[in-house]
Amino acid sequence: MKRIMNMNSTSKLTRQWRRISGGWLYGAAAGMTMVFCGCDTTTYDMHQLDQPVVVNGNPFLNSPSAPAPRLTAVDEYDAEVGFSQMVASAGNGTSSQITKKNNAQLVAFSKIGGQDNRLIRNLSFDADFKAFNGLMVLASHISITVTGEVSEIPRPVVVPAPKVTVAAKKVARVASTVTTNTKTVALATNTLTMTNKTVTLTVSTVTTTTNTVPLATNAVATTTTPVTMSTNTVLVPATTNFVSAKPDGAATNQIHSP
Amino acid sequence: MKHSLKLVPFVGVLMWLCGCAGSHCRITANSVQAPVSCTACVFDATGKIREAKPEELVQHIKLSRTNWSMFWRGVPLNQTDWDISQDINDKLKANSGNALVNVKVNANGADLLDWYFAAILPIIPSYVHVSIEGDVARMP
Repeated sequence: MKRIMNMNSTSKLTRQWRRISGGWLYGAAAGMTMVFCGCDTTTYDMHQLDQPVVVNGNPFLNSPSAPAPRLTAVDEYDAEVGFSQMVASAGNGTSSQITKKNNAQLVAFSKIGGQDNRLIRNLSFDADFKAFNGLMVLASHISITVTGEVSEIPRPVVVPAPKVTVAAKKVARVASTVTTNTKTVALATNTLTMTNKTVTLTVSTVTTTTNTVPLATNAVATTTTPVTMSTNTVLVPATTNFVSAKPDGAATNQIHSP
Repeated sequence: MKHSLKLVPFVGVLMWLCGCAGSHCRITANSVQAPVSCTACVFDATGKIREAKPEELVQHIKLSRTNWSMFWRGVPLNQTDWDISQDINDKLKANSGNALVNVKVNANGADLLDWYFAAILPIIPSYVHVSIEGDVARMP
């Protein structure tokens, strides 16, 4: 009986020991896997994108003849690529978890994709490695955090062309003189400008007429002067004096009244 | 109560055995004159996208560095910031290239043997290894 009891207790202890040691073995195996796998690595790779993502601030090839276009910042770029793994061991069980993160290309595409005047520049890469040992839990995390600036080359402002409606198309089909009408509108505008010029010219003519009037007045004044002289000529009394100075031997001053 | 007191040294040992390790490195290349692109594309002088053709790639280059830290990442043993501008300028000049394209950045953490003991004994340094590779391009 005693032997049976001893056997029972021995087998129970053995089972417990096996359970515990099994857990530790699992943990050791997981640890060895982490040692020899060397999986703590991550890469920032953007080769699938067809637009410039430059580390420095200059995305332009050098050209001595033309200056580089101006760039304006429009947004910020923030992305992360990472890899983390965790191994936890408890009793007779071990669990491991691997997490990968890579949103670099996705974020880049959402910021500049399809817009050929946009780019990402001034990148800085923060490579960070963290590891944690909690005795029963081993965890490590490697990541590259990338920050940058989304910039664009400003495009010249383009005035959108007027849309041709279906009704307008029908009109054009019915009346073939639509083009002529359009030209007429343009000419009307020109005519308005020309009218303004004509008004200016008319004002000048009026001024010239005004100048002519004073000249006519001067002519009249000139005419007046000879009239005065005629009046002087008509001073016949001088002839009368001459007649009076004719007496016999007397002084000319001796004027006799007639 | 007596039971709890027995646990105190056990918990103390456990806490002593717990810890963290790691390191950090920041990479920049702000003072390179030629474009340094992570894709195969750059802008030409007029602002149009120009993709480097395979025959225009003249050399593949790789730069690498290892940054060490100790005391749970608290004391860096290297300069944390790494400016690769001078190295890239030299490589471009040596190969007469006018752009660096297809740039990839790779980061490797320390292996478990290193960081496990670095977490327990903080005087043991841990590291992060970073490398940058790309192709020097000569684009007309």
